[in-house]
Formats: sequence, structure tokens, C-alpha cells
Amino acid sequence: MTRSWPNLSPARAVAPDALPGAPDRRLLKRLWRHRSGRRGLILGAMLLALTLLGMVWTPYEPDWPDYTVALQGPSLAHPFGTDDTGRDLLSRVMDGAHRSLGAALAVLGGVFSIGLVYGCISGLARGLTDTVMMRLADVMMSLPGLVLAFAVIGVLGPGFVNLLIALIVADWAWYARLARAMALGARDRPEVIAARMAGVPRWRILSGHILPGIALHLGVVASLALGGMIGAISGLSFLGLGVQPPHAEWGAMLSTQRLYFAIAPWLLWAPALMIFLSVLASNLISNALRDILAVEGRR
Amino acid sequence: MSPVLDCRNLSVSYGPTPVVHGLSFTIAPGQCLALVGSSGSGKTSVARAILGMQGPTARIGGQILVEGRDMSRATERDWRALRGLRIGYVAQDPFAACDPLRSVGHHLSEAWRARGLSPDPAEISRRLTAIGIEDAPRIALRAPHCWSGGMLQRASIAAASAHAPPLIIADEPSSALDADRADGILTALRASGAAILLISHDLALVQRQADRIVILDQGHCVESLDTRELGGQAHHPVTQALLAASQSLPEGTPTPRHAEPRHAEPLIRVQDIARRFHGDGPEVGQVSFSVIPSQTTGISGPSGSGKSTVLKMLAGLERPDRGLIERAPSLARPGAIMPIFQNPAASLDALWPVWRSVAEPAQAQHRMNRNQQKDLAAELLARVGLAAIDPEARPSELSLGQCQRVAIARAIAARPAVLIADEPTSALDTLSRARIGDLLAGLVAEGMALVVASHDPWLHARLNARRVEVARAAECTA
Amino acid sequence: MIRVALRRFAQALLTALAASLLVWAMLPLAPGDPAYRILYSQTQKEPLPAEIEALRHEMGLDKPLPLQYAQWLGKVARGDLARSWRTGQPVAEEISRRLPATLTLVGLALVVSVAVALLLALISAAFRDRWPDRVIRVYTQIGAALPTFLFGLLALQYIVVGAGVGKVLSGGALQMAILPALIIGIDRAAGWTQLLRASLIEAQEAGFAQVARARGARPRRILLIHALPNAALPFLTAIGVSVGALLGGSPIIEELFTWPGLGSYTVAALSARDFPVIQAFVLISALLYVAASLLIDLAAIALDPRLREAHP
Repeated sequence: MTRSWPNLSPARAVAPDALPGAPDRRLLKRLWRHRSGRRGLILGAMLLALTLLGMVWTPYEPDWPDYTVALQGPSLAHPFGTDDTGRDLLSRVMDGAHRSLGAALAVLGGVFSIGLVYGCISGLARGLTDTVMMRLADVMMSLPGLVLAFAVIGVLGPGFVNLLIALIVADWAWYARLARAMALGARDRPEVIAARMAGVPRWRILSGHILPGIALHLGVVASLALGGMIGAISGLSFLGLGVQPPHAEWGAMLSTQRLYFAIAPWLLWAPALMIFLSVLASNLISNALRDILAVEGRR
Repeated sequence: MSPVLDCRNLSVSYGPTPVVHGLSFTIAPGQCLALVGSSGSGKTSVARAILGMQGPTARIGGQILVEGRDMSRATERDWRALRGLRIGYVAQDPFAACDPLRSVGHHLSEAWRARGLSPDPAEISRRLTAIGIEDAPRIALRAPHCWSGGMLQRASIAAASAHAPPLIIADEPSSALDADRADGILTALRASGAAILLISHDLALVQRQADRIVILDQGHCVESLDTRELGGQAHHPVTQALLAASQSLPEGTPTPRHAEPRHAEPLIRVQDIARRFHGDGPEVGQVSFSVIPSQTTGISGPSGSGKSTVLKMLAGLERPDRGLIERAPSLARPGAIMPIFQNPAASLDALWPVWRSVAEPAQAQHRMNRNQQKDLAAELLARVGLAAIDPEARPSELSLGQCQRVAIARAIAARPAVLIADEPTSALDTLSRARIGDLLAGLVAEGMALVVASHDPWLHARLNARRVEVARAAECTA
Repeated sequence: MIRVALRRFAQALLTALAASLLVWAMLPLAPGDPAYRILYSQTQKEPLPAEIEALRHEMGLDKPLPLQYAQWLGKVARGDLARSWRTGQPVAEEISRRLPATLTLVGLALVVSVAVALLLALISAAFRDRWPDRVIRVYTQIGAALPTFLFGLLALQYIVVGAGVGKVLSGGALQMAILPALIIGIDRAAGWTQLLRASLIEAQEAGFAQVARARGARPRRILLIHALPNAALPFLTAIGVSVGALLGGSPIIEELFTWPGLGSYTVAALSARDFPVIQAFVLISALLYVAASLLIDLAAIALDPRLREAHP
């Protein structure tokens, strides 16, 4: 089980031994040399630029209706057309980018931090603490991620922040398990044994050797899950459980605008394209990362 | 009689430089020819070329004649007609050679099914019984992982010789097994009556079993000789090195056993330590020895006998169940005992620049600023012969041999009295192995006590080691 | 082998029990008094304290938590999933009417995606780096980059609404499930094809495949006899993950295809925070997932002799 694949619950596809090679600072350079890695980086950089731009400037005001130009097809003035209330779709997808992508990054940041802390405590403490902490994680992992997310939304109610919390609750245990597996093995890693025998203080072994390795590894795993997370967030927003109107978000845009498909099919193009390109960029980089790290793992 | 295999001026290349250059040899029916060389000498490439399995990226030069038929223009279909029927193949690791999901009986019957035949189950049982397996019909239904390596390799030989091919290629058929099984495997191979192309790095084994020997070095044939000639006349240096590496040390040389005439006090005295199986790591039979300054203690034994566990007990990382380890008071300080590991790439922190890894043990003893650490690292790197590398490099940018020397630099940074090395050369090629051997010998000459666990007789010889045998059984020598 | 299977079965029962605890805990964990919310959602008026107290007593909310859990579990075991807070209808009835539709869609989608992935991955591995492989890899890249609901939405709009094939509104019947199942299956198969192709190629390069080749076996035979069973192990795990994703994703999928199953029933309940319905959805998905994981692990144990050994 060494490959993950995009689905609505990404982290469970990554087994603890998925990434045998240790990533290091020259990862970006090697990604750039990898064919699909470079494509992914270019695409990702473009999307990031569009997102950042969308936070400070959009061609039109994204949330202001202008009924005089409602439901217009793509044109020079409105490259992606306008929606039923005459809002410019390019402006709306640019404005929605930081919600869609930002939400995915926030969830991944959340599961990364919780997983890292929880897993390291569990793995380094060992004994009863470890057993109890891991049983709790096991219970969380016994449910499919999205089912768990719906349960949390049921408890907390719909809303953008609640959606993020739900997705973090759904996935953190997988990252905790991964971090714990690495923390457990860390004590017996050669460089740690050498440091112990040389009398390096425990806290310095922890902060110098153990944590950075686990954090980097976990970070890579989290980044592999980005594509699936974008999909999951837009899927839940599509149900109306995420961003509330009038704010733009790609999944929510798809949901409201599909009603007009018969008369204005272009309404779907812009958000669909943005989701597709984001997930594609993430997948391209993931595949390249896996290639690079798998090769190194064989050494 | 026409030869079964005739290689004329064979060369194999994967990139611009060939890995095998102009190799010529012939094998007569029933003859056993051994292709001997260290890893990277190109011997496996030869084996693959003779099976027509060199892969799409390889280019083959020269001629390969199988039973007089020139295969240089052969298509995949032509090759397939030969494989199994005219040329048998036995792989190195019998467990990797068997499909883990299928029974061994299935593995054996595949030899027929692959050719579109369906064998009689009784025939399979008969073949298994012939290689010494009792209750064959029942045992054949078991999966490979339930078998012992030696038995599984015998079953693989039975499969390779299913159609009585005139030639069998055996690629290190015994190197994954315990040393005492090797001769049995080769005897089983020769019993098939086929001519054998034996690929090996173990000249001593080859000397007992083969008729002719071809010595390969860096893809060149350096010597081709009759087995009887070996050891007599003057040989090529590569042959001599291989010969030296494969021969176990004569008894009693070069340091006398036990009683030490030197007045050096032992740093560690190990008395009858033993360890039961604890769920992880093997059990260890009883051993006793002492660790003395300026001397090497060489721990040897078959794989799985607990050599590493003995080292861990010496380092204080694990406790023996029985027996006593007495350490001199001078060893109480941190860093007095330092380790060197088997896998050089994994033994350094992959995220750290080399200088930081090297300076870490010294830094633990007294605080140093960055520049002091870098200076110290440069000094230590120069001492292990790595003055030329960039101290900012990460381990992934170094070769395995360089990584191992960095690891040694890190160990001596702690100013240890005792170095503990676990198979320090097993991951390295011949050249790096020699360098590490020289480096360790130099440290011992300077007064370091070295304990090295290795299955490599060459390393023990290079370090003048006093040998300690570890076995699961209770007996022990030292 | 039977002992290993029994142990796995016992493990599944424990997991199901743990999941039930999680489902039950949703109610006490939720902010606010459930009795208040039930009364409010039924009457849309501020309820009287006496009414709240009466309902609390009736629901057993004044008892200690472990007792509440035991009572809840007892009811669930008897098939009583309480009444919907909005409609007052028994949840179990509604669910038993809708569950077959969900199972039909999920099952059919799984069948389609397994078939598509098997076929394409085998072609891809057999013609590695030649044109059929390249074409299939383009499909997998695109398919993997389209989340299921997005691909479903586009396919639905262009095929059903645009081209007029099939119907948008469906009664949950088997023949109506074919089009949505095809759409979902073709999308999910993309990721599976990638996974299976990689495992097949890995197995084709393994030692036993080399030995089989050196023995004169044809590549096709190696692919089918050796590579496929070995590659099937990670593939089985992937199917297990997918069952979970399809169950969890059923609200999105069913909303999209207006499919009258469990998922679309839950969507309405989510925004109204109709607890018994959400709890029933979570519980049933969890049980189905546990059962599917059990079946898949048993299949893996049957396939791989190494897994049959009892681990200490």
C-alpha cells in the first residue's frame, strides 16, 4: 500500500511506510527537475498568484449584483461570463480562491499540527498513555472521514468554520498514527543512538533529530492530500454546508449556478475549471514527490 | 563435443560506458564454469544477456552461441523458446523467486505450465522427494514463507531443471543462505547433469565446486583459469584479493588467542553474557571476551546469531539476561563508547549538513559556536580523508563510502576509547570497503579499542581482529 | 486461517461498538439542550420550562450518561432509531425505505469502477509506455483531478440535461441507477487505475516475475498469473477506502443525482440539525463500512497465505 489517490478522504490512503526517503531542503530543486513536478509547480504558482491577486484586486466587485448584465456569455469584458444577478464570474472565482484553497490549507495545517503533537506525545511516552491515546485514534479511524465530518456538522451546525473543524476531526487521527509510528522508531534510528551515546541532552535530540524529521515527513504527506481536500471542501460547500451566500466559493458557486445550466452552461465553467486545475496541480506535485522520495528510499 | 554456451567478445552497455567489455568463454556439456567478481564487476549483466533478458535499454555486442546457435539477432520469441527448455535459471534469493501468494508446488508446476504443459501432481511430488523433501505431496501445498531457505532453493533448482536443460545459469545461488548450506546447494545443482554457469563472489566456494573460473573486474576478464591452477602460480592482483577475501583466517594468526602479553588493561570485560528471545532481536548464546586498547575484537557468526545484539549490550543500549559486562571507570563518561552503523546513508541525519553531524558529539561535551563547530568538523573530516567534500553537503549528496567516513568522523569527535562497528562495510563496494578498513586500522593503531561485528572475513583480517564467534548455541570461542 | 478470521470478526464487532459510542455521544456533545431544540423545532415557539422538563424525563436525559448510552444502544439493537425531530416520523421506517436505493447506487458504482479499473490497468501494464498506456494515463490524470461530485455534475448537465439521455428525476429503481453509477464509477476508476497500474508494474518487476520469464513464461501469463493477484492486495485496500468514501459522499452524490436514498434524506436533516436522522445516517454508514472492511480483510486473508498466520 504505497500510493494515495484522490478521493474525498485523502489521508487514509497514505500508509505509514508510504514515504521511505527523507525529504530535505533541496526538494524544491528536485521537484523542478521532475517533469510532472515542474508542471505542477508552474500551475500551482499561477493559481497562487491568482488567489493572492484576488484578495486585493478583482476586475469587478465580486458580490455586487448588476442586473443589466445578468447571464451574459463569455466576452472580453467578462471572460467567464456573468451569473444570474450579473456578477462577473472571473471576479467571483478570484475572490473565492482564497476561501476554497485557504480552507484546504487550513484543514491540512490543523490535521498536521494536531497529528504531530498527539502522535509524538503518544509515541514518545509509550506504555499506557500510548495505548489509551491510540485507542481513541482508532475509534476515530473506524468511521469513513466524510461520515465523521457529517456527524460533526450535525453536532455543530452548518457554517464555514464548522466545516473546517469537521474536516479536521475527520482526518487528524491518520496523521497522529503516522507521527506516532515515526516517533516510536525514532529512538532506534542510528543518528539518535549515536547522539544518545555521545551524551547529547534528551531535549536537544528531540528538537534536533526527531521532531524536524517527523514534521517534514508529515508535511509532505499533508501536501499529498491537498488535492483531495480541495475536492472535499467544494463537495461539502456544494451541499450548502460551507460558505454562506453571498460570498463566493467554488463549490457553492457550482451548487447555485447549476440551476441555470440549460440557458447558461458557462456558469459552471469557471468554478469547475478552477477546482480541476487546483486538484491537478496538487496531484502533479504529489506524483513527482512520490517518485523522488521512493527513489531515495531505495538507497 | 560442441560447447553448450560460447560467448565471443561479449559486451553489455546500459549507457555510454560498457559494463562488460569483450568477454569470451565457453562451457562444455556438464561443465561448471564460475564467473567470479565483486559486486559491480558486471557478472549479473552477463547472466541476463545470456537469457536475453538484458532489458530494452541495454546494448549487446559480440556473439552469444547457445548450443552452436548464434543468438545475436534473436527475437524475444527465439529467446523464449530457449528459456526453461534449453537454459535453466536459479535466482539468488529463493524467497524473492517464488510468488508469495502461491504454494511451492505451484511454483514447481509453473515450470511446465509456462510452456503450456500440465504436469502430473505425482511428478511434482517425485521431483520434490528427489531433492530430499519428505512427505512431498503435503509440504508442496505450503506457501514459500513456511519453507527454509535451503529447501526452497532446492525446490527452485528442481524447477529450473524440470525440462533437463543442457545449461543452468545460477546467480549467487547460495549467497542468501547460511554458509554451510552453500555446498549442498551446488551439489544439488551439479546433480542435475546440466552444464552450469555459476555466478559468485565467493572464490573459496567456487574452488570446491567449479571446473573453470573466469575472474571479472569492472567488466573486464582479468584471468581465466582451471580450478586446479588456483592458489598455485602467481595470480592477477584482483584474483589474489578475492582469494584473500574468501579464505577464512588460519587459526591462531596473527594475534595469539586469549592471554594478552600486552600490559594494557581491558576496557570492557564480557563474561558469559547471554540473552533470550525478547520478541525483537535474536537470542544470543553465551559469549565471553575482553575489549583492549589498540586492539580489534572481531565478532562473527551466521546472520541472525545476534552479533548486533552483543554490540548493543556492549554499548549499554540493551541488557544481557545472564552474565556480566564490566566496564572500566574511564568509560563512564558520555561519548567514551561510540557506534558506527551498517547502513551509512541512514546513520546520518538526512536534514543536517555534514559538519553539524560531525560536530554534534563534541558540541554535547562542551558548548561551541557555529564557527568552532565547522572548524572542528573540517579537521575531523580531513582526518578521515574527506578534506575535499563540502561540509555543507547533505548525506544524500555523498556516496555511501563517504557517508560511512563521515559517520566515523562523528564517532571520533566524541574522543571515544572504544568504537563499536556493526557491519561497517557490508553496504559498500570493494574499493570503499578497503578504504574503511584502512581508516579503522589506523584508528586502532592510534590506541583506539575497536569492536567490529562482520561476516566479512576480509575485514577481520585487515584489522588483525581477535575473533569471537557468536552462535545461538551455548558454545563460544575467544 | 479460521482463527485469524474469527479474530478479525471479533475486532469488527468491537469497532462497531466503538462507532456506536461515537454516534450516541453526538447528542450529549452538542451544544444546547436537545429537549428545548425538539420542542422549538416542532412548534417554532419558545417552550415552557415545564414542557422541557417533561420531555427531558421522557427522553431519559435526566439519567446518568452510561445508563443513557445503554438504553440508547438497547433501542438501536431492537431497530428503534427514535423519531425525527422535524417530522415526528420514526426514522427507522424512513431509512428502511431509502436504504435499498443507496445500496443499489453504491454497489453498482463499485462494480463499474472495479471493472473499468481492472480492464484499463491490465491494458496499461501490458502495453507499458506504448500508446494504449499513454492514452489511459491521460484519462487517469484528468479523472483523478476531477472530484467525483464535479465530474458527476458536469456529466449530468451535459449528458442528461444537454443531450437529453436518461432522466434527471429517478425513482431509485435499478435501471435508473445505471447512468449515475456509470458516471461515479468512471470517475473513481481513474484513481484506482493509477494505483493498480503501479502495483502491477511493481509486481511485473519483482523477482518471481523475472524467474517466471527466465522459465519461458509469456508476459501475458506473468501479468495474469503472478502480477494480478499480487497487485490485488493493495487494490482490495483501496476498494475498502472507496466504500467509505462513497458512503460518506452519498449525501453529495444523491443530492446531485436527486437520488431518493439515505444521503439525500440526511442533507435536509443536516441544516435543520435533526439529530436522530443524522445519527441514523452516521450509524448505518459506519456499520456498512465496518462490514465492508471485514469482508475485504477476509478476502485478503484468503488471497495471501502470509496473512493467515496468527500474529502474537
